[in-house]
Amino acid sequence: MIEIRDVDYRTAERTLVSDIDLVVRPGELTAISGTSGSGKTTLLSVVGGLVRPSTGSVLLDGEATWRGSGDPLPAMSFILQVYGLVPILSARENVSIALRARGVAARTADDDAEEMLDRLRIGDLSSRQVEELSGGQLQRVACARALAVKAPVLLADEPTSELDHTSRDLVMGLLRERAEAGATVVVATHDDEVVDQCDVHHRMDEGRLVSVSTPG
Amino acid sequence: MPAARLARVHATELMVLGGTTAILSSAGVLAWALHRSGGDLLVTFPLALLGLVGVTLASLDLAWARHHDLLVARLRGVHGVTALRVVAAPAWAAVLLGTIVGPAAASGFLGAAPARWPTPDRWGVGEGVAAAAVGLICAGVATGTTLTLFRLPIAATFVSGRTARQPLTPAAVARVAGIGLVVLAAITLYRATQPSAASSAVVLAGAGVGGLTVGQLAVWGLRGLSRTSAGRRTTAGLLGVRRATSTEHAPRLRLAVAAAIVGTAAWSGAAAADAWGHESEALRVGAAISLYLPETSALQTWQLTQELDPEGRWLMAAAVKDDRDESELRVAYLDVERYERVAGPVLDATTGSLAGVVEDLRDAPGVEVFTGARLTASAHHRPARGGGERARTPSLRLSVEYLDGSGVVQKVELRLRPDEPDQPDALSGEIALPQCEVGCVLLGLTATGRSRASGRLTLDTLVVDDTDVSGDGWVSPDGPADEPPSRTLALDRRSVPAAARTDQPVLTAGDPSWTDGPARVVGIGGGDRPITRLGSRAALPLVLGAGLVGDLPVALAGSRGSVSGVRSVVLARGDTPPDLLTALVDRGADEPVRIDPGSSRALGPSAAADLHLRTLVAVGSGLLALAALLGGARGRRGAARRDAASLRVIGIVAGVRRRARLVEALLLGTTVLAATSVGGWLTMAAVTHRVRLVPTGPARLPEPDAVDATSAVVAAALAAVVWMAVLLVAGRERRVAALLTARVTARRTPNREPR
Ligand SMILES: Nc1ncnc2c1ncn2[C@@H]1O[C@H](COP(=O)(O)OP(=O)(O)O)[C@@H](O)[C@H]1O
Ligand SMILES: [Mg+2]
Repeated sequence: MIEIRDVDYRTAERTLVSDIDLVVRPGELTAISGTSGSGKTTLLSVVGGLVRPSTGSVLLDGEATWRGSGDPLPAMSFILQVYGLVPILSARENVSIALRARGVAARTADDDAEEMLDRLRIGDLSSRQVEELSGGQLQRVACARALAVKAPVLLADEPTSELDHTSRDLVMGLLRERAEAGATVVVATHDDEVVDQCDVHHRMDEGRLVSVSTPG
Repeated sequence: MPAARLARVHATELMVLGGTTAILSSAGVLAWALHRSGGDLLVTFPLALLGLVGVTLASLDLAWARHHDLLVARLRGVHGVTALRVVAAPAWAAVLLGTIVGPAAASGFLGAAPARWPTPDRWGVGEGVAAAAVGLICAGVATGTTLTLFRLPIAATFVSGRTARQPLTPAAVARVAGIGLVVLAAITLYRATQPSAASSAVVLAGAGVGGLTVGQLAVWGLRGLSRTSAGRRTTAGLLGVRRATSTEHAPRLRLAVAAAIVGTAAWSGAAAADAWGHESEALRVGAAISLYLPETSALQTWQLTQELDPEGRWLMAAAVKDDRDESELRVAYLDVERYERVAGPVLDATTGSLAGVVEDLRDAPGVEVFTGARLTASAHHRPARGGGERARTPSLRLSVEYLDGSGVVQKVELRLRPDEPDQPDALSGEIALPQCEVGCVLLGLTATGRSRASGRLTLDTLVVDDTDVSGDGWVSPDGPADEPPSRTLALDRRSVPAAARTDQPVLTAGDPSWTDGPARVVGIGGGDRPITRLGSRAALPLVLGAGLVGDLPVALAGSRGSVSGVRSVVLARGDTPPDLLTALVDRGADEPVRIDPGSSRALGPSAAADLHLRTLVAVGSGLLALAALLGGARGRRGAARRDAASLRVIGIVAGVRRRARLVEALLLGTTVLAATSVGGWLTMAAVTHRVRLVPTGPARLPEPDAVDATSAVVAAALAAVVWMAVLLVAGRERRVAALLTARVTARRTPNREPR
């Protein structure tokens, strides 16, 4: 369970996110929607422990997600809006190193990576350098990387922005699978169809939470 | 983008392009000046080749750094001259600046350089043209590369999500260029095996092709390595290997290896020629100072040194006959007893050092010089056993030849008579000895007279004033080499002192060949003398690469006055008191010749200019490589931050990230080290050692061997260490601020370093 208590995030000039008070439960898909620039990415960075909240705190099962350095807790996994893939590695290696970083043996990590890429229907691209992939393909590699590690928390920032409908549903299905396995899954999106597939929906506007609803 | 902002944002890339141009234009100016002094411009071809590669790389870096600007220009639809201006103006400015700075630096260098640089005093139009030409070529290359990038499909330069820089040269072009290089290298190799290789331009320019080929092979080798067994690696290993083998490093790897190889080949060539020149000069002069005495005989010269410097602290006499090219006819006699003190400081470091053989060279009787006014001789006659004829009184006339103090052969004749009538077998005689106040040397004697049949006359003493000068006895001047000396006088035949016929120990250089008869040496007096060969050397003092060296006093024993072609010389230490030198000049010596501290006198103008051209190539390629490696540092810093940000988000901790950097640097460093040392040695051994570095000739030092494995390894280590330092320092994990992580991971600004 993630508890977000009275969180503000300010830079020198502006307040990007303010007054966030929210509890995210495991086993559910939580959507955060909002127009572009409303603060979704910023909020996920705070929640994931990549930046320190200016005020307030974020706790994962009682432990602060901000560890003082910007290194996230091992329990966290991310699908970044800009993917954050390592360009010199192949698709498989990008997924595999995330697994290796969590102590999975190289051979097993490669096999798991391959399997996850297959499930995202890009298994045939697994040996390609990610530099040579299209935007949608890159995004699926980024999803595979976050899904493969099976972390207790998955923060997905616009994970389907570049995907066609089929791929989108595929990704949402896999996120659902994670939630059903007991993970806490947060999806930031501006896509209503994605919101519809989630269990809880928070809407943001200008850095604030404006409504909570339970779609579907 | 306004100029000031452009200059700030792309400062590194502009500086590297300008710096590369400056290196090349200053090299162009210096090369032209050296060419005017007799140097061969082809020597600089490898540097020119590296320069082209370096300028291309620098302008690609700049063009890539500006690719957003270029994209904007394209989207705005600029074309024609405007496009050219927008696209290439920054590169032109950098090149122009480099073209101005380069020659200025060159002239500053020449102003401060030791006067030994054999460049003309005043610069001509040629130097200016050379600098301008280099600048124009650089500008052309820079324009070409920028335009290539400008004209790439937009998609190739700006695809969303692309996070790494793309190689600009299409893979096919790179492959063709690589294969072309290998073919060129094969041609060069073949050409180097041909007999005419020494004068071949292909061979002279070979280091450039060799270096780039080895660089290309290193790139391929590293890529091959990356294909194998990626699965079993650790996270750090996987990352490190993939980074090291990424296309990003390939051009720098190629250039670094090529530059180190070109530099090594040029440097060892220059060092070999320089050492050759120094050694030739040392051996030619023989000591720090030499003074020739054209009118003085060898004996007088030797006596002069004994007189002026009785303790042997400064001076050493020598005689040299070097008017012929054949080894067996070139001789230098040195007063080796004084070698260690007088010539040793200069010659001991050369192949012509006599240290350790001084005693062996002197292992024969030396000349005996006597002074006095009267010559006394005594002899006795032993009648043959059972002989009769007691009645006849023996009489003996002794004709004695000697070399007087002024180098003239004199002869006196003295009669020996029985001292007492009742002792007819004991004879003696006495005569005045002219011209021997200064010092004479006994050359030979001839006895005439009567003896009773089958009796023997024995010379008991031969005394000048109070000194017996008869030495070890007498031999016939042309008897067999093993003839034992004796005191028995053969009537009507000339005898010489045994010392004049003993084997003279010598060292040989070159390939003396005695076509008729046994090995012998040309004496100072012209006659031959049998020798003992102590060994052979690559070169010897005064005769250099061909000839024989022996001890002067040994050679003087029994030798008649110097024949023409033998030159007398006094060698002197560098710290000889000036009045001693003045005294020598007063006694007939030419002005002292001091050893040239440089190597150009022995090399001659054109080989000396070539030597400096090689130094220029070595230094130039080192600087080019340095510029290229440093030029990569900035882009790397940005990439390192982005990578660190992405990696920490997926849980790869700082220790692993650092290890990955280390693996990358070590792998590249090892590749540079291995490729450069092996490739450098191979390039030298297979190609550049055929290049003629020094003037050749029968009496010169043998050609130096410019294959220098040590310098290949040193250059390789230097290149590897510099690059590893750049990689590790630039790629060092600065503390990636949390905010930065968030921004990097949130923004799609793949090619610009976040601030
Ligand atoms: N480092 C920053 N400094 C200042 N403003 C920022 C920074 N990062 C984001 N912003 C601003 O914060 C707001 C929220 O951004 P973001 O969280 O990326 O929105 P979203 O993900 O909802 O599109 C935007 O208005 C953006 O311009
Ligand atoms: Mg966002």
